[in-house]
Amino acid sequence: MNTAAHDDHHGPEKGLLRWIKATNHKDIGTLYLWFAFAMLIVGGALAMGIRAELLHPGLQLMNPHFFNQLTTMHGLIMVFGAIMPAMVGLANWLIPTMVGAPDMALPRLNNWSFWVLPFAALILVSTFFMEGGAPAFGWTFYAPLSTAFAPDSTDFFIFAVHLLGFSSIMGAINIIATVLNMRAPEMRLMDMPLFVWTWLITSFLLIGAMPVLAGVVTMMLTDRNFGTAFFDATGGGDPVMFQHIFWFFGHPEVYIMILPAFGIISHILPTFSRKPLFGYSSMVYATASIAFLSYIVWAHHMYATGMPVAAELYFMYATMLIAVPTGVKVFNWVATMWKGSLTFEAPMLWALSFLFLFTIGGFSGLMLGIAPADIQYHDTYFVVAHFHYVLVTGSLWAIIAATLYWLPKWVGKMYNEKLAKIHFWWAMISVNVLFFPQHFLGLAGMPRRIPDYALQFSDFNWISSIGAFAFGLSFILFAYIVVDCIRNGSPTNSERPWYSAKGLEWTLSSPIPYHSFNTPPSRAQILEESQHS
Amino acid sequence: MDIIIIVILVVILFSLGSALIGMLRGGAKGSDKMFKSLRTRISLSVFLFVFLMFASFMGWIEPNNVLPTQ
Amino acid sequence: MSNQDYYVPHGTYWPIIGSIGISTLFVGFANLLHDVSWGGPVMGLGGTIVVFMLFGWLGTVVNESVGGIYNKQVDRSFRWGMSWFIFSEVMFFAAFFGALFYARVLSVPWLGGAGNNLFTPELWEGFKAAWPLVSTPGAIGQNGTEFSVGFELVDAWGLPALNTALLLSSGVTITYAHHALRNGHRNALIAWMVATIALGVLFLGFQITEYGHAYHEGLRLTSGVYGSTFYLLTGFHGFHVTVGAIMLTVILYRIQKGHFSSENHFAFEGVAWYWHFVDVVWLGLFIFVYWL
Repeated sequence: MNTAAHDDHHGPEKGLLRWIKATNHKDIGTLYLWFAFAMLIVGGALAMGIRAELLHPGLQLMNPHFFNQLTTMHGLIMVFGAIMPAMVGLANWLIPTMVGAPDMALPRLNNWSFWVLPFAALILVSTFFMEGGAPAFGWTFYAPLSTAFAPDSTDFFIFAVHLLGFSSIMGAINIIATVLNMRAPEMRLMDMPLFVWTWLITSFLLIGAMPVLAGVVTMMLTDRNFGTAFFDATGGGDPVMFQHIFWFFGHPEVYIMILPAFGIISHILPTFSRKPLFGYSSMVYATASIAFLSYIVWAHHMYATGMPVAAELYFMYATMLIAVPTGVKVFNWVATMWKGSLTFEAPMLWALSFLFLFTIGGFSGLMLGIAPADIQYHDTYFVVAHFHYVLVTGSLWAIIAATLYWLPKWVGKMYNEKLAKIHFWWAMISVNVLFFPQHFLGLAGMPRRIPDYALQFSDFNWISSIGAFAFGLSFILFAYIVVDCIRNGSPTNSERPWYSAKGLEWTLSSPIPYHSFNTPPSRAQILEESQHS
Repeated sequence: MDIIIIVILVVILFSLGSALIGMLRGGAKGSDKMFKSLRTRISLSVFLFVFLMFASFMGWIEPNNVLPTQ
Repeated sequence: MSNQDYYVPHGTYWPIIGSIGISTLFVGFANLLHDVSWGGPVMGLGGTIVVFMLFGWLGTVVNESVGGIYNKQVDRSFRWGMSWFIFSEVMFFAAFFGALFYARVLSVPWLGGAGNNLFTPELWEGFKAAWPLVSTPGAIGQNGTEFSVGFELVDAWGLPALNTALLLSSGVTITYAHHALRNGHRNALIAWMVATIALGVLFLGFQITEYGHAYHEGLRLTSGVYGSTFYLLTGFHGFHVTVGAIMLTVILYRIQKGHFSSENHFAFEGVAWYWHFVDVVWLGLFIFVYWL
C-alpha cells in the first residue's frame, strides 16, 4: 500500500498553533507569502519616503542621513524580506505538488527556515529606533562605510543578515532534498517542470553564495569590534577585498531572485498560448549555464575600483557571455507563443509584460557590463533603473503572475478577473512612469543615493515620483484582489481553472488536499503532464 | 615543490568529496565507497605531513616563520 | 521502489524555540559589544535556549529513528540535508581562505607598490610589503584600532606541527573506528572512538596554548591583516573541532546504547565525514599559513 504515514489524519491544528507548529508545506508556503507581502509593504513605504523627498529639488522632508537610511533599508528589506521569501513561499506551495510528493523532504527544518525570518526582520527594522539610526551605507554595505564610519546599529544588522542567510541555506537544502529525493519514483530529471528545475539550480546558488555572505559580515563584525584589519589598508587589508567577497555572494544573489521567475514564466506562457513550451531541454541547460556563469562574473560591479585592466577585460567578456543563455530563454518564450491561440487573462498579461520589461532591464544590464561605458554609468540613476527593471518588472512581476495563476488552484476559487486587469494596467503604466525616466536621469549624470539634485533633473524626478505614488497604491488593490478571492471568490468548476494548463499540480483536487500526493503519480500521468511533450 | 604539495592537497579534497557522494548514496555500496575514499584521504594526508617534514629536513622547503630580509 | 511509504512528521515547537534562542543570543551579543550591562546574561540565556532546543529536537529525531518510524526515503533526505549543510560550511571557510589569498597575492603587494600602484609606498614611509606581514602600513586603523606591530612569528616546527600530527592521528583513529563499526567489532569501535575524542580534546588544549604563546609574542587580532586571517581561520576551525568533538561524544553515547548496526549507521557516517572535513581544513591551514 502506498500511504502517507503521519500522526494527524485530520488535517491541521486549530488557531495560532497551526502556524507556529506548522510542518505542512502549504501552511509554511502561506506563511512565507504573507510575510513577504508584509515586508513588501514596509519596503514600499520606505520607497515612498525616498520618492517624496526626491519629488522636488532641495532638501524637503528629511535630513540626508535619514534619506540614506531609507535607501539602505529599502534595498535590504526588498531583497531579503520580500523577493526571496516570496520565491521560497511559492517553492513550498508548488514543488511538492509538481514532483508528486506529499510534502517537503524535511518538514521540521522547513518550519525553522520560515520562523527565523520574522525575528531577523524584527532585528533589522528595529535598527531604525536605535541611537544613530539604521544602517545608512547602501544595501551593499561597502567597507569602510559599514566598518569605520557606521552607526552602532550595524552590529544588529550583521546578526540579522546571519539569520536571513541561515534561513535561506536551510530552505535551499530542503528544496534540494525534496526535488532529488521526494520526486515521484517514475519521474526522471528531464521530466521535471521548469519551475522545479529553476528552483533546484537556484538552491545550489544559495548554498554556494549565502555562506560567503555570512563570512563577509563576520569579517565586518570583527573589523568593527575586535580590531581586525580585513578591509582597512592601514592594517594591510583592502576595502576592495570587501567588494570582491560581497559580490561573490551578490552576483549569484541576483540570479537567485530571477531564476525562479524564469521558471514561473515558462509555465504561464504555454498555458495561455495553448502550445507546449518551446525548447524544454534548452531551457534547462540555459538555466544551468546562467547559474554557472553567475559565479565567475562578480567583479563587473566593480569596474570603477581600479582593478588591473586584465581583470576588467575578463569580467567584461564573461558578463557578455550571460546574454547567450538569457537570449535562448527569451527567444524560446517568444517561439512558444508563435502561432499559438493566445488569450489575455491577468496572469498572461503579467507574463507578457515581464517578457518586454525584463528584456529592457537585461539590455541596460548589457550596457552596464561594458567596462568603458560603465565608468560613465557607474553609481548613476541608470543603474537604479536597470536593477528595478529586472527586480520589479522581473522578479516581482513573476511573483504576482504566479499568485494569480496558481491561487485559483490553491484555494479552489477564482479571483475577480476584471479587477485583476485594472490592477495590471494600473501597475504596468505606473511602474514605467516610475522607472523609465530614471534611465534619462542616469545618462544625464544624476548620482544615486543622493537626497538632492541639480535643477535640470527636476522634471524627470517629478514624473518618476508621481509614478512611484501610483505604483505604491496599486498594491492595495492587489491585496484586495487576493483576499477577495480567498474569501468570496466563486468556486472553480474544474480541477483546471485554466483549461489548457498542464502539470501534476492540476491533477490534484481543488483546493489542494492537506497532504498533496498520498500516492505517487504513474509514469503515464507524468508524461501526460510534462512540459516537453 | 609547492606544486607537488598543492596537487596532493587537491587529491585529498577530491577523495573527501568522493566520500561525501558515497555517504549521499547510502546503502552497502555507498557505505563501501565512503569508507574507501576516507581511507585514501587519511593515508594521503599522513603521507603529505611526513613528506613535508622530510622536505623541510632536506632543505627543499622553508617554513613561513623566516623573517623577511629587511 | 514499489513499496514507498511517505513519512510526514507532526507539528513541532522546536523550531520556534530555536528561533527565539538564536535571536536572543544575537541580540545579547550585539548589546554586549556596546557595553550594555545586560548583554552578557541575555546572550548566555539565548545560548542555553539553543542548547536546550538542540537536545530536544535531536532527541526527538533519535527516538523516532530508534523507534523504527523512518524509512529509507527519510534516511536519504537526512543524507542530502547533512551533505549540503557541510558544503555550505565549506563555502563559509572558502570566504576566509579567499581573504587570505587575496591579501597575500594581491592587496599586500599592491600596498607595496606592485602593479599600477606606483605611489602607494609614498603614503607610508618605511613600509615593507612582505608575507607574513609583520608590520602594518599605518599605526592606527580607520576606526581607531591601535595595531600591534613587530610580533614574533609562530614557529611551524613547534606546536603547529604537533597539532597537525595530533589531528591527523585522530583522522586515523576514526578511520579504524569506522572499520570496526562496519565489521561489528564493538569493543574496538568504542576504544577507537575514545581515542579520537581524546586526540581532539588534546588538539584543542594545545591550540589554546598556542594562542597564549602567539598573543604573548605580540601576534594578536589587532596585528593587521596577518593576525586577522590567522585568528579567524584557526578560530573558526577550533570552533568546528569543538562542535565535532561534542558530536563524537554524542555518537559514542549512542554506540554504548546500541543504536547502530554494521549496515545502518548514518549518524556515525555524517559525524565521521564532518571530522575528516575539519581535519582537511586544518591541513590546508597548516600548509598555507605556515608553509607555502
